[in-house]
Amino acid sequence: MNGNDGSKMKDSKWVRDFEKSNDKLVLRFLKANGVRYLFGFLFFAAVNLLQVVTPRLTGDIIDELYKQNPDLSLIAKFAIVIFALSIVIMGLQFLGRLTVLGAGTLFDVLMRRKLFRKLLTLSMNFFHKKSIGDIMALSVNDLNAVNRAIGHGAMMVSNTIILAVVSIVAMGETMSYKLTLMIFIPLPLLVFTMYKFGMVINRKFRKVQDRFGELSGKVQENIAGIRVVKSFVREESEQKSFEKVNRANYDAEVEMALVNGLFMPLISFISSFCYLILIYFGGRSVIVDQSISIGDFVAATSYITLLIRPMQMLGRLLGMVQRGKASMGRIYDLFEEKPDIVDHKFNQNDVDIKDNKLKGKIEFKKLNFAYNEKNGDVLKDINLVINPGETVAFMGTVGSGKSTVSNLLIRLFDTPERGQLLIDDMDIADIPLKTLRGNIGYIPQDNFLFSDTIRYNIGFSPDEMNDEQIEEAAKTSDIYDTIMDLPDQWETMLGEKGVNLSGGQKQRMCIARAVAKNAPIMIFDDCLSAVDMETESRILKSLKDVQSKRTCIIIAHRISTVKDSDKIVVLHKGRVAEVGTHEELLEKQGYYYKSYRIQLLEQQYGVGLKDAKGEKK
Amino acid sequence: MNQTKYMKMSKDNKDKKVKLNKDSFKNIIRFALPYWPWFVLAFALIICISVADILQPLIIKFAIDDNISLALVNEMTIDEATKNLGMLALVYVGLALIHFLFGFVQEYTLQKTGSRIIMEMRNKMFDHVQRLPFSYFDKTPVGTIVTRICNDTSAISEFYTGVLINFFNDIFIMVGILITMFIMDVRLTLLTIAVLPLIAFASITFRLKARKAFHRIRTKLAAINAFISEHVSGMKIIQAFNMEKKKDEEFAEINNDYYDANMSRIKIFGIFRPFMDVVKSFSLALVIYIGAKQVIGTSLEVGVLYLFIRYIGNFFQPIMNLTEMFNTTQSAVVAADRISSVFDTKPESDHEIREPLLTPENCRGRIEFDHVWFAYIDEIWVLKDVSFTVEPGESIAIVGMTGAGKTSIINLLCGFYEIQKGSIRIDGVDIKDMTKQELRHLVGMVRQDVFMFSGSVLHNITLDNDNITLEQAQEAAIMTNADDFIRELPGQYDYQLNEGGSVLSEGQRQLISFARAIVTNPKILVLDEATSNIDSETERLIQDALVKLMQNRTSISIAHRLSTIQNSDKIIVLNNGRIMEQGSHDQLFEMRGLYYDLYRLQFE
Ligand SMILES: Nc1ncnc2c1ncn2[C@@H]1O[C@H](COP(=O)(O)OP(=O)(O)OP(=O)(O)O)[C@@H](O)[C@H]1O
Ligand SMILES: Nc1ncnc2c1ncn2[C@@H]1O[C@H](COP(=O)(O)OP(=O)(O)OP(=O)(O)O)[C@@H](O)[C@H]1O
Ligand SMILES: [Mg+2]
Repeated sequence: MNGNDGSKMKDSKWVRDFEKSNDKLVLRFLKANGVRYLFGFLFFAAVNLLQVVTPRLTGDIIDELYKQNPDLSLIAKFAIVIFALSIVIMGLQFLGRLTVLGAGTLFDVLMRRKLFRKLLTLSMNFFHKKSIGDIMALSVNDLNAVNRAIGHGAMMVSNTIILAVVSIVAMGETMSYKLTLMIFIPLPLLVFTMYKFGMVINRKFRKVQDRFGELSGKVQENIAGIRVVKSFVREESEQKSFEKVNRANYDAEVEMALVNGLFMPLISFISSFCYLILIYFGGRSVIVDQSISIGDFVAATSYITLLIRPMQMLGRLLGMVQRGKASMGRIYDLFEEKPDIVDHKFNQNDVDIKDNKLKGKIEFKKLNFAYNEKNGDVLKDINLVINPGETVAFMGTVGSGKSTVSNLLIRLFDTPERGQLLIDDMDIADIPLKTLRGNIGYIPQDNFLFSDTIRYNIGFSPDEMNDEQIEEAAKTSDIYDTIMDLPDQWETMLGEKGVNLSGGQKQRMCIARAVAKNAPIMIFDDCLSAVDMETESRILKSLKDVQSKRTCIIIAHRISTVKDSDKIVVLHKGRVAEVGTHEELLEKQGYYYKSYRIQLLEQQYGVGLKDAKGEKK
Repeated sequence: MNQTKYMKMSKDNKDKKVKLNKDSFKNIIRFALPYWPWFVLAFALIICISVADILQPLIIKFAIDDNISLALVNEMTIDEATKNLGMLALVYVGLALIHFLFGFVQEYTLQKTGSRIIMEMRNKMFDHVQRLPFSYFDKTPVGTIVTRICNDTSAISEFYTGVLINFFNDIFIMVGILITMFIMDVRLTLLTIAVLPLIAFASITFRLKARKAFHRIRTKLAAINAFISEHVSGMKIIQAFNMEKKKDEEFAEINNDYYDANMSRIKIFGIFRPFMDVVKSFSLALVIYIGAKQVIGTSLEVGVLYLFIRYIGNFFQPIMNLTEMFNTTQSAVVAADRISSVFDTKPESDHEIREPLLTPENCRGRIEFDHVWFAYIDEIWVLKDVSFTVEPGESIAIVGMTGAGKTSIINLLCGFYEIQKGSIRIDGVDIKDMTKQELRHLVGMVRQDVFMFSGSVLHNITLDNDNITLEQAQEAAIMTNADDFIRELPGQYDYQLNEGGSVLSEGQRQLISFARAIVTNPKILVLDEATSNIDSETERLIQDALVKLMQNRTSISIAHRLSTIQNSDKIIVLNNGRIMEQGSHDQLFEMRGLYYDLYRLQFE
């Protein structure tokens, strides 16, 4: 699929410029495609002009027939010309449509790509507040409205202009000054109406689009959580709440229908005042003071008809443009989002990272962190040094801030001015984002996989990975055999979020994905929680090798996972409560010791040495 | 070269012939049927408007011929003429007013009815989708379903507002003109309609092409939505793995496909519509030539030929309109086809409404798996000949290596998938004989994959169930230890979560989903690794609270940590889909089998 048309468009300079800019996109696009639109306009102009020829020809033919000795061969020639003309018109119309409508589609495709690019730069804070369904609505529904305005709209612009010019020119030839003035009296009213309605249409349409975004958000969320909905038999209440959103969308549409329904008929109605004035005042002028000849009067009636058509088209065009504008407004809202996590360019020269490889020293200096002010600090005064090659484990109660540490290390969030997070003695914000993330193998707590092949999911890296690397990683994370047992092996397609895998399989797939990266820093965020003891110990064993060469951060709840770490950090409500090795912490008799006791008791109970239940109470 | 799913999808489509469900079009009409009075109203209004439109030029003619001209030659007094002119002007505006009012009502009615039908259609679809089995959601991307419910329905709306009525109107006009033409001259009329087969042929050819184009467009659209939906939810991983560029390229590929599909539509209609003009000109040329010949041969009056030439224009106008509608119609039919494919997917088998066999009140909670065989796909057995019973009030644990089939057992118990062989019974009733709702009301479960909805914490615990009070929700939260952290959130139980709940920590989400399960007070409690992300201390607190809770209910827990299973009456050891060992902890430990191996390792 390499030779597809869309990609060919992408190489020109203006496209690159367009992709970089973030404002006045429509204007930029129109400017860059001026020649294209000009051609389209010319095509349509030619069509309009040529279309006038046919009635003339038929007129001539009739004239010829009224003659004494009509010349049949001449008539035959005329007939052939009529037919030939229509073929030329067809060609021109085809080209016109292709250029102008094609421009709309081009805008659509470029914008959608921009939109997705924009999404790729935005940080977690944005995705926490924007619903996925709404983003989907932007990329399809809103772009569609813009596409219409810029494609069909442009097509109508040329037709409208040509028609208007033709009628005005025709009028200018014969119309008396007085009559023209009369006819144009309702015009300001018309313009005013269109202007007012334009604003209303914009507002109402925006509401419709907003509601549609909510609708699609509701469906998106419901389907994403359908397994919960079904498990808890909540279909009915979901249906109810869907119907509410659906109704709201309908209500907005009905409001829009009201405006739409009024708009075009109103334009026709106002235009009819032209006739009112003409019939009464014009007619009076003809008969009373005879300042207008009857011929002019008759001509004027047909000119009005000519004039009203472009007016109505203008109205329709305006509606279309306002809709496009409203949708564009929604899209701009997204473009205006500033990515919070960016490279600080001014610092870039100071840091010099050899081969973009980090050594893996991590240092927390009086680090404080809050996701937002309302929620308060999640990490408080963290001081910690992790040397290259060390394995450090984080433990702590639910919500104590462990994952937050890993979020900060891969810079999903920034730590502005409140203590420092240093990597290889550089402030984390000074390290180019690509380098930083390229040097970290991250295993998320919520194992997310893409609906693609297993090979793709494990070799998930900007650099091509060869099969050995992927297989090696699969073996390290003990998923190799499972994969081999599947009918399609590496080419097995996963469902969205890996639905067709078991929990443990998903986790191991995520481990493999991170291990394959071969990065100097590894973060394991509670990534063995869903695997059994036996598998866990196997993975830990094979990871030993991985760990010895890298800086590893292991987040876990099980003593068995963390006990061999060089350092164990216990977090409590965002503070470091305990630090030390397994033995040191046991001596401290704090949280770690307590967890150890609980888990040991379980184990002892398991082995049957002691009655754990008795001890517990 | 990375071959993503989406590219594969597009390949498949190229090869596949576009075959439409015959009923798609019927479906479009079926949804509109209940609203026929509105359509009739709109139709009647259109006719009135047409009449008004015909009358308006007449008034001007009247003004000129019967007033101004007469006044000019003094056959009428100026006063009378001006009075008449004033009247005519008012009548004209009156007609325009009628046009305005009727036009407004017509337009409004149509659009409103269109929206209404779409709303109904979406409601029906959503309802249908709610009842589809898990297997459907396993293989259909979320974004695709969203496209079906939201976008594909929109594509039909234009059909109701723009086509349905005008179609009849145009056919009406066409037939009218045709009759007039026949009355005037049969030969010329026949000549005019000689091109009809050509039109029919062109329409059929273009219809196929148009359908193919629209089919591609709709498929690509769904692919775009699926891509965005998936990748926005996985944005963290994309960014953490520096995959922005690659994902951008993958998206560009789908996006370009969509562009191509759209361009091919533009091309097809760019030829089709102007082609009708050519046909018209052809017919015109033919009539002119033959007509002229007859005129010269004096078998035809010039006036008749002149009228015919004008009629050809009128005759073709509705045809042109119809071809305009062709675009919309084809788009609608293809969209309807996509929609029908959703409606055609069979929902979870359900029985007619009747008194439930088992209610949470009368259910005792005895569970029986009787030689159950199960595979997600074909014959790749995930569960093989699984048999076990759980007595009322008993708590059992299922253990086994990852991928052994533990979650699958739970899925079957809740009727999420259909088993191939054997039977599952609750209190002796085969679950096949129960409705899914009835069955699931008996079971409360904490799923391994936690999902949070956007909305408040409270909403996430009660899931909008009005029967659950705030106190009950709090009680459940206290029991699962979620209350502690909820109290620290700004707004507490009203704290707003985002979709997926990623503003909470994983463990916190798990605690909430735990509370969600016990708040319904189910007869059978199923815990699928419900505490895997919870620290030992919290877990222990929960365990203690659970002891009380489990007293008079049946419970099944799946866990890898001994702590979770130590209180169980019975432990089932699963390996590779088969039950290897069954018994109490002590019995199993004595056996020194699989179970022993699994748990010996915990501290080594
Ligand atoms: N929806 C599905 N479609 C196809 N195959 C599936 C599906 N869900 C699970 N499987 C497969 O069925 C097998 C059993 O999965 P199951 O989820 O029951 O395992 P499990 O014992 O719960 O494992 P874990 O401890 O890792 O959660 C696995 O090999 C898995 O890949
Ligand atoms: N995006 C966010 N916005 C606001 N608060 C957040 C966000 N993510 C996490 N929190 C809060 O920050 C605290 C720490 O969360 P974190 O995910 O670091 O916990 P954790 O130690 O990893 O817990 P667990 O063991 O449950 O995974 C929690 O109270 C959580 O509610
Ligand atoms: Mg966490």
